[in-house]
Formats: sequence, structure tokens, C-alpha cells
Amino acid sequence: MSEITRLLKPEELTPATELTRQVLEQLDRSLLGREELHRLVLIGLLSRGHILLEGLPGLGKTALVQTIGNVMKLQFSRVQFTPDLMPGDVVGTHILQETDTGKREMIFEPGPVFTNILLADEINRASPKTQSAMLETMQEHSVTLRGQTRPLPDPFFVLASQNPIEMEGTYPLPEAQLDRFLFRVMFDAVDAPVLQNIITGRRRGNVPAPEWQLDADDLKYLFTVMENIFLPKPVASYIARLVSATHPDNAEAPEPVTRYVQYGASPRAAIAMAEAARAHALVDGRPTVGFEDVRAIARPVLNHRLILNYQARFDRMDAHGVLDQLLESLDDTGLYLPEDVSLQPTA
Amino acid sequence: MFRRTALRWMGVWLMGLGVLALVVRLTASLPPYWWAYGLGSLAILLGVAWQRELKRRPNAEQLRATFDKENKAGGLVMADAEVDTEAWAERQNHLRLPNLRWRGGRAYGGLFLALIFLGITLLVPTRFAKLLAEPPLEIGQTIEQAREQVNVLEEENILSEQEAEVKRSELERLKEDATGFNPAKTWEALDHLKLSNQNLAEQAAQEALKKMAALTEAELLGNAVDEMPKDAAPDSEEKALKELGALLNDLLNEEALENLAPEIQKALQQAGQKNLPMDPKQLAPLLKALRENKDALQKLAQKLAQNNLIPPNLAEQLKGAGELPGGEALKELLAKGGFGQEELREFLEQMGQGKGGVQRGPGAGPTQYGQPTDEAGAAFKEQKLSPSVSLNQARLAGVTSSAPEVTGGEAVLGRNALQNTQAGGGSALTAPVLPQHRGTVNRFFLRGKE
Repeated sequence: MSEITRLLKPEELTPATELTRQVLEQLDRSLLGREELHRLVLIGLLSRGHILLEGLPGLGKTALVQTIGNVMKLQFSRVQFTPDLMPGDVVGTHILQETDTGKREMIFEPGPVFTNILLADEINRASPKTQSAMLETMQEHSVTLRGQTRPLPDPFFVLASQNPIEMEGTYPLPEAQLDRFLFRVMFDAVDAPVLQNIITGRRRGNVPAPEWQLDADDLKYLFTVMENIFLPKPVASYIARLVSATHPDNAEAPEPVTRYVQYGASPRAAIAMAEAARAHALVDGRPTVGFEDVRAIARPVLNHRLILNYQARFDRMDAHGVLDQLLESLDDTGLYLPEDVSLQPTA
Repeated sequence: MFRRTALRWMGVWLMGLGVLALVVRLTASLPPYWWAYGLGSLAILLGVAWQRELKRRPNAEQLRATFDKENKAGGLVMADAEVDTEAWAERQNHLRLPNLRWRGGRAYGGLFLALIFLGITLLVPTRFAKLLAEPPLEIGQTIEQAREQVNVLEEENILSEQEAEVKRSELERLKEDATGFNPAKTWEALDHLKLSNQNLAEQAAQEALKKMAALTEAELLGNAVDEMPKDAAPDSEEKALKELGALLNDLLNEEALENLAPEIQKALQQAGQKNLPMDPKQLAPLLKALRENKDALQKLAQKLAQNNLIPPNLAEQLKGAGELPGGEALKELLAKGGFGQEELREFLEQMGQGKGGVQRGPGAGPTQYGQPTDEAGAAFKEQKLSPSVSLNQARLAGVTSSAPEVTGGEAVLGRNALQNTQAGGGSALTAPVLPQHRGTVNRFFLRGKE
């Protein structure tokens, strides 16, 4: 049950929307041809979710994270994951040190995870032990060592990258750990005009410094506004139906789901979807969530949460294909008007 | 939505009603007030459609969501039901209620087609419909033939009036029930009826044949007595008249002799009972009556044959049985005299036999054996037969212009491949060795001896 009793007033919402517009403007200016991706990453950050970036090397994953860190005036760390990376290398470790009094003590040396934005580069190259340690911090937002729990800085985001090729010597993230990520965003190659702009305007690919930065207060204000974006019941119902319909035994599941999906999305996916839809509405400058917000974020939220069966492999069907048909077949209002009946606005 | 469902259902309902009406019209007649039943069921149908659409009516939340979606309000309309949206009232002023639009062309088209179909089914002429349902079977001529046969059988008293009436009503029923869908049943019934008619007619013809033979015997004897010479043996006439009286009495008892004057009939009965000779004065009218009865029997046979009730050869047989054989031998016997009544009866029976072979004449006569053939000195000539050889193993021994010499088979067998072999030393299967292979075969059998 929502505790919101009134919608945000335009004068309360507009500054927040303006801030998001400025963040996007800076990101778009720094990284060319990635407007939609920037929008999704910002929505992910506003939803306080972690994002898994998947794409080939050299597409700008690291540059994106660096730019976000710069634009948001947030602390930024990067860890290059390798098979011999140990959990202590990520979360930190205790080191025996001699104090000024000559007494020897175990002093905690924080790892790179103690930051606002952590880029976990090629996360699938680390051993499952290290992956698990880091994914635990993602969920708990704290690190517990030698019985002492240390909270991570707020906000804390993980932007992990994963290379879909060169699978040899990697440890693909299990489905349960993939579920911790709010979005899985695919990095596609940019088109020729964008490439031309990059090579003519960016010497050695240097990313220009941002002209404007979002400070911590602004970010807190954005989070406060996010809390007041209203999710109407029909939209909540649509999210619930959408997530339920990813399960093959659901009555509303379309044929591709029943045919190709082995396990559908978890309740965590529904929660993530609601949060991301709120953020999408905020970026769009609306105090309420509409069906279009849900549809806009449904693919990145759900695409890594569907476990497909072998039939999908045989038929070369991926999660995106299933989701496309699911979104097309599921009527958001639940009316399911017949084909020969349509709604048209009055003149 | 109710209109949409109602129109679609009505289209299907009218189509179904049309099919039902067509089936009913083809098999029977439409019940009275059928249209009232139709309208009643239509009302029920519309009621069910109304109920269904009432249940499927969207709730307020769905309507609000649809309104929001169609106006691209981004959830503002939906939120209005739960929270205060006054701050965004200005944006809500531009919202417009969406119209539910139904493209009902197909439903209307379907309904129109169903109406046309129903109209056509009701306008199809019943006669045409019945023709479609029961194609006729052309058996009128056969029925007429069978009816004529029954009439003939009735006229000739072979069938009683009641039996004939039963058969005629059966024919009528067959004519009414005849249908092209099941012709075999009708034809089988007709064949059965005609066969029973033919059996009755043949039975009557066989009886007529016996009567004809008896009448011929009586006429033969009557003629012989009538033409008896004056120098005949004194007791011959009396014996002949006695036998004639007995014969005629038998005919009278078998109802083979009709149209007799009552006094002659009485005299015949007395003569038969008391074994008395007939009065010679009654001979002329009796002979006339005999000929009339024979004519009647022949006419009966002709009539039956003309109506295909008996085979033509049976009619011919009857005609042959009515022909009088030469009476010279009988006249000679009567003139000579000295015969008993039994001897005279046997003589008469033999006279009526042996005419016409298998197909003509009475046929049923005693077999007479003569002296047995003497077998002394008879013997079959012994001859040695050649052994049987199957045709595919036969060999050409030679060609002669005269009859071939019977050699008993040794010559043929002696020239084959087993000529010099001993028992058990070779195969029974022989195959001709072609000249070009002989060298190879010889080398095979002579291997190791070289």
C-alpha cells in the first residue's frame, strides 16, 4: 500500500527532472551515440540498482563508468577481475601493523569496494569465491570481516562489465547472482557517423571533462523525489502480471514463454521493475508511473532473469525474443479488446 | 460489445436454423408455429449474450487505465482514483474520453448471409426438396406386369380373390415405398412377388399337363370305341366303355372334366362307382366335352406363357400332350378282343408315352429293359503306354510325315546324359549341354585323370 497521499507538485518535480536532464546532457556530450544507454544507466542509478554491462571490448564501458563518476562528483574505483583475484583484494583485509605506542594491531585496510561507484571489469573472469564476496556486498551494502560490519558509502553502485566472447577461462555468473543486478544492458556497436564524430573530435579517444557536476545534495534530492513518484494500482497490477507471465505455467503466459522458458522472473524482478519504472517517470518529468514506463524498462530488467530451456537453444531464441512477444501479447489494461474493436480518442 | 456479440451469435444462430429448416423440410414437414419457436430461441440467445457481456464488462480501474493509456497521460488518470492530483489539474483538462469503435462489417455481413441462407432454405419447393430427399425409382412398368400376372392368376382361379387382393395391395405399397436411395430392397421384393406368381402358375401348368394326358387318353379311347368296326369282338365294346367310364369318372373326381351336362355327369358317377359300361349314346357329347376341356387347358397354358408366368417350353409340352397319337393299334386291339380291363389301361398308358423326347410329352413312363448284352469273348487290347515326361523336359526325337513309332520310351531315355551312368552315380536333374560348353564340361569330369 502506497503511503503517498498527494502527487508531487510540478514545482517539486521539475527541478529534479532538470537535474536528470543535465546529467544526461553531460553524459551524451562525453560519450557520443549512447543516448538510450545513458538514460538506462541513469534510471538504474536512480533506482539504486547495480548494472551489468555486457559488450565487446572497446565499446566504452569503462569510459561510461568514469564519466558517470565524474559527472556525479562521486568516488569511483575500478577493479580488473582476474582468476587469481581474492575476496580480500576486493572487500579489503586486515594487516598487522605497529602503532605509535609500539603495539602491534590488525588494522583494516579497506578494499576498492569502499567507494560510491565500483567498476567490476570483466567480472566473469574472477573465481566464484571472489564473485560471491563482491555480490554479497552488493546485496548488503556492507562488508563484514572479523566479526565487524562496515557499511559501504552511500550511494553504492556496482557497474560490472562482462565480455560475451572469449569464454575460455571464465566463470559465468550463475542465474542467482545475475538476479542481483537491476539491469543487464547490452552495449552495441555505434554506427559510422558516430564513429566519425569520435575520431574527428576526440584525439586518442580522450573523454572531455564534464562542464557540470551533480553534487551529493542534488543526488539525495533526486532520491527523495524518487520516493514520491506514485505507482498507480493498474500499473502495479501490470507489473505483477508481466512478471507472472514469464512463468510457463501462468495462464497469461504467451506461447513463446510456455515453449522456451524453463524458469521465469523472481519477485525481486517485480520490485526492480517498479523502481526502475518510477525512475523512468522521473526522467520523463511525470509524478506518476504509466504503462509506457514499465514497457521501457521491462527488457533490461527481465532479459537476464529468464532461464530458457534447450528448445530455445535449438530454435536460436534468446530472452529478448521471448520478451518482445510477451510485451506484445500482454494487454496492459487487462481489457483484451477483440481485434475488431478499438479505442479512439474523441475529436 | 453486446451488439457485437449479439450480431455474431445471431448470424450463427440463423445459419443453424437454416440448416435445421432444410433438414426438416427434406425429411418431413416443418412443424406449425416453427417461427414462434425460432423467435423464442432467439430471445434466449440474446439473453445469454447480454448476460455474458454483463459479466465481461470492464471494471472502473480498467476503464480508468484505458482512459489514461489512450490519452497518454502517463498514469495521471489512474492516480486520480487514489491520490490527490489537484496540482496537475491543468494537464488533466486536455484529456478526452476515448470512443469504443467496432468494425462490425464482418458481423453484419455474416448476419446478412445467414438471413439469405435461411430465406433460401424456406423458399426451396417441397416437391424439389422431396425429390432431393427421395429420388424416385422407375418401377411402374414392372408393377403393371406383376399386377397383370396377379389378374391372370385370379381369372384362372389359381389365386383366390382374397389372395389376389393381398398381392395387389402389396404391389401398391411397393410402388409407394420405392425410393432411389435403396433400390435393391424394392427390386428384391418385386422379384420375390413375381417368383411366387410364377411358382403358382407352374404348379397349375404341371397339374394341367397331367389332366391333359388323362383327357387325351380318354379321348383316344372314346374315338376308338366310336369308330369300332362291326366285326369286332363282342365283349370289346363293353370292356372299352367300362374303362372309358372309369377314366372319365377319375377325371371328374380330379375336377379335370368340366362343363358336362348333369345327366351325363350322374351317369359317369354311377358307371365309375359300380364299374358299369357307359351308354354309347353319351359318347358324342362326352368326346365334345373332352375336346373343349383340352382346348381350355391349352388356352390356359398360352395365357400363362404370354404373361411370363410359365416358360414357353412348358406351354409347348402341354400342347404336345394334347395331341392324339395314332389309334390304329388300339383299334386293332379292340377288334381282336380278348383283353382284360387292366391290360387295356396299360396299353392306353403306353400309347401316351414316348413322344417328344425330354422336353415334350408326359415323360414319366416306366423304364423297359430288354435282354442283357453277352460279355463272352469281349476283351480290351493290351498296349504299352509311354512313360509320362513333363513338357519342359520333352525332347524332340524327330519329325515324321506318318504316325510316330511308339518305342515305349526306352529310345528317348537311352539317349540322354544318363546313358552310361550307374544307379546313384549321377543327378536326376539333367540339362542340355550346348555345343560351345561341351569341351569345358568334359574337362571338368576328366580332371585328375590326365
